[in-house]
Amino acid sequence: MILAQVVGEVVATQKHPSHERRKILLVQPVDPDGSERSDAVLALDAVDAGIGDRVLVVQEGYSAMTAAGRPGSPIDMTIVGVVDAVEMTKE
Amino acid sequence: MPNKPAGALWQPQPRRNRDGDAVMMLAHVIGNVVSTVKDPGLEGRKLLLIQPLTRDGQPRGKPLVGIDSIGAGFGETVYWCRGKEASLAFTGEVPSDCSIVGIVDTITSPPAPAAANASPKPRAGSRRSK
Amino acid sequence: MLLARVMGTVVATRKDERLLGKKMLVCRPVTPQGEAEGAYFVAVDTVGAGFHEMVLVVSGSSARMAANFKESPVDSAIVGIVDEVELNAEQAGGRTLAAAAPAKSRR
Repeated sequence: MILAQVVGEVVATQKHPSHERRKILLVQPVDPDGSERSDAVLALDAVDAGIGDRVLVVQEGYSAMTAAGRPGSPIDMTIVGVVDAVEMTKE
Repeated sequence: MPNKPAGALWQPQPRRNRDGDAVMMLAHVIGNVVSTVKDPGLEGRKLLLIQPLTRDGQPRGKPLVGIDSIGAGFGETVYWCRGKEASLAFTGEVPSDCSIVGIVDTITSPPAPAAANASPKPRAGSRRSK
Repeated sequence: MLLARVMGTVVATRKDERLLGKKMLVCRPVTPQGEAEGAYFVAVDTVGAGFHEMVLVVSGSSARMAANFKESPVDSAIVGIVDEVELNAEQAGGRTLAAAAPAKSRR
């Protein structure tokens, strides 16, 4: 899984049926210190996350589908948790 | 679904591992990993440290840890299987995403395309002008 | 699988119910010599790993084969604590490199 920051929400009226009734959020992968890591990506929301939340995103197909409750769907990223805190040791 | 500039044609990207290097299937066995506390599915399995290689035998990308399924040893050139299919190299529940499935004897590889397109060299004894 | 070092822990109360009770650790890939290199990721712990320990991480669909994760939405799982990494003669003069703190009895 990766850490990411929710930076937006996407509205799409025409989409695959398996994406219906799930929020599609724009998430920015981040390092534990909050710095941006790579391009922002889209993930289906399974935990009612909102803009500004730091979240856990699963990137493997079957896990993403399972978390979204949509087996056998074209879903490859799903938000599986809202992060309360990240406790790091010194490097 | 990564970002792309507006109007850009989407190009399929080669499969890449977590660190962004293209994943290759050939590798050199460079070491092994000892672990006592581990998942029960890994008990009794040899964990080898492998360095992925290019077609020319040059190191490419970061070393990985693979589970040995055919008795490979230090210094050997091997090939490995990635992903969920890697766990199919074993019977039972073995959580592997990198399994060593063959030891390489030889690799026969045609020359790279650039060399094949070069002008043919004149044969000895030809009257081609210099 | 990757070699990685455990660098932190993630606390998340609101999450998929199949992740309840699972420890999620922030890890960073390391070279065989133990230097941190590469992007952080979060992996579910199955072996009781602690901070700064060098661990083995399996990714992708195979992560669900670890412990009891069959139906859990995980894509990275820690499946072993590394005691030592032995490199062959060309890599390190045949020396054994210590991974981290010596292995402790956990059971």
